[in-house]
Amino acid sequence: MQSRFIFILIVFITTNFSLTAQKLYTKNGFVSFFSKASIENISAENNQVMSVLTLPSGELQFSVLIKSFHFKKSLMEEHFNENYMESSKYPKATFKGKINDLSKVNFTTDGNYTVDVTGDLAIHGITNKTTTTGIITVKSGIITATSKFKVKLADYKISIPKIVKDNIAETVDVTVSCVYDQKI
Amino acid sequence: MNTMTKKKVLISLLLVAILAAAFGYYLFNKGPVDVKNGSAVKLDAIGLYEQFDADSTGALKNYSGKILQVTGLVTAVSLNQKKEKIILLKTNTGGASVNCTMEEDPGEIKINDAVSIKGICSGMGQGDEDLGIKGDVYLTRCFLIK
Repeated sequence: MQSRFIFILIVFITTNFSLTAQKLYTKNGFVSFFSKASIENISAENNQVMSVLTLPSGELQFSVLIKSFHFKKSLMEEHFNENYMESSKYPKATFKGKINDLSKVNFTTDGNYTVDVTGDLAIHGITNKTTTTGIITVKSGIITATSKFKVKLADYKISIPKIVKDNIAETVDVTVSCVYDQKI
Repeated sequence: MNTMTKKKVLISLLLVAILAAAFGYYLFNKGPVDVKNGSAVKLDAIGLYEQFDADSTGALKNYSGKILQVTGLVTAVSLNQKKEKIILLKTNTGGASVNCTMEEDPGEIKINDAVSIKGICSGMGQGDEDLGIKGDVYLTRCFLIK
């Protein structure tokens, strides 16, 4: 009787563990940025974001190839890569951090859950601690993470030549959205 | 310099200025690179991935930002959030693909189809050591070559 109980207990613990300790990931998440400026607004999109969300710890990672950003105008794309982001020298931007209050999210109930995220954001070879809020959406078992935050170019030593200073905002709005369609 | 010569010089300068402004305006408003009709470096998905895997810095130098025409076997077809098709091409590394975001709908593509896709290479993405998966090599603004 006792051995049967222990067996059931072991089965319960191991299956429960395998259900909860899980890594969700996508290799085709979305990130965009928008910069409002006097002459012309600047925006670009990237649909090739790698992101991993670990449950239940809430560890969160994003990795973005700078060259995957696309602009409507080729000159903007060229300047973005060569003059501002120096994408040959710094091909990726990354975020490594944690959702601090993942316990708020009920993964079995559909809904939008606002969470706090902290971590290290690395752009243009500079890493800064950052804090932002995000939304975890649960819909029919599919988890989506979205966040909107601001990046100050000077914080990442992205220098804007004086001649175009008026045309490029000092802070850009970044939007991230990842549907975690893969899991391990 | 007589008045006639002065006039000629002025007109020439004006013409140069107009041409320069027109060229500047053209460059400023020029749309994205024409991937579909642009000349491409041709290679296969397995070889391309192996080059990035063996020497990512060297491969980045050779291919990043360039138009490539990559042939390979389709392992998955899905849609991204912008409803663009994502086609994954087989490599010899488990869990890793040549990841193509289609600019133009390629029509019906099935798993195991042999395809040739033209797009701009943006490099090799980051993998995850804990997950045991390697990053994909990405192509953007892709077109299916028939």
